[in-house]
Amino acid sequence: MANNVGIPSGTTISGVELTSVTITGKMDTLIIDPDTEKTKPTHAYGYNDTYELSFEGINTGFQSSTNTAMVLGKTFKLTSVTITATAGDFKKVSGRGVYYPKAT
Amino acid sequence: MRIENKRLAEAFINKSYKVLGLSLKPFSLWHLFLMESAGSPMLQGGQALVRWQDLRWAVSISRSVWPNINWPSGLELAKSLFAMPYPNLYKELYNFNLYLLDHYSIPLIWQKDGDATEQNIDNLGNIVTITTSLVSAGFKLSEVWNMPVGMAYWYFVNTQRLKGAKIDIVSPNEEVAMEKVAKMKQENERTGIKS
Repeated sequence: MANNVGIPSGTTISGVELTSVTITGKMDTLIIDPDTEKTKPTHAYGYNDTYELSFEGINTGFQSSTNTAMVLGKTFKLTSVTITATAGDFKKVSGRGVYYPKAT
Repeated sequence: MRIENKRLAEAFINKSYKVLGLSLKPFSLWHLFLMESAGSPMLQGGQALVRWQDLRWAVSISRSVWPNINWPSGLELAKSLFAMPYPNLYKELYNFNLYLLDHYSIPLIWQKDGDATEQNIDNLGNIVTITTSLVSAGFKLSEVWNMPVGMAYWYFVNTQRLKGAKIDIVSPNEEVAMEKVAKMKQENERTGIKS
């Protein structure tokens, strides 16, 4: 499920003026077979829930040492940030990140 | 439906202009070609010294209709030199620059590193390439040469897209972000903060 959330307030990535942010949520599920014919399973477990972030913006001095992004109050770990194109003095940046809600 | 891209809207909606008391035609590919051919200082922003004669010459050129060239006579140049009080040069130059900017609203293009053949409008878009492309798309030669520069670039970029070129135009919200970044840089320079 993808949700383009615009640029929610409190969303910051140091060194990037954001132009778009998309968050995708996914979860693996485990369904317990009821062992009875024509019966719905009564137990389903969700695990490994993950939120993936992709963003674009204008580079304002991104440092490779920056490895987190704050989105909707959650700290995403950045997995990649690259400069993809140039227009005059401006550079377009795209990046990805990931957030595991149950990680300790 | 509202047109979000200000550059696109500006390229197709233009005002009428008078400079040195003379009405100008919309600034066209023909005018641009003539001024570039002559190395007119009018196209160099604030980088060049502009004299009355330069402005008068540019005004005459901007009244031309392809394939004609409306050269000012020596008498007209001399008259313009003596007829106007000198302080007005700045006002007339300012009006001429507004006229250029109004008709030069070309799309901003993202250029991918190492992908210049597909993305770089400077490589694709010299005036004759644009003219040839628009004529092959069905426009008449006279329509193309007399077309305002911004409008011609937008048609050109879209004809290239229809032929399959991958051209990434800077979006309106990216342009807003660029303005914000530019202001931030100016402010940092003013206060001495390094970005």
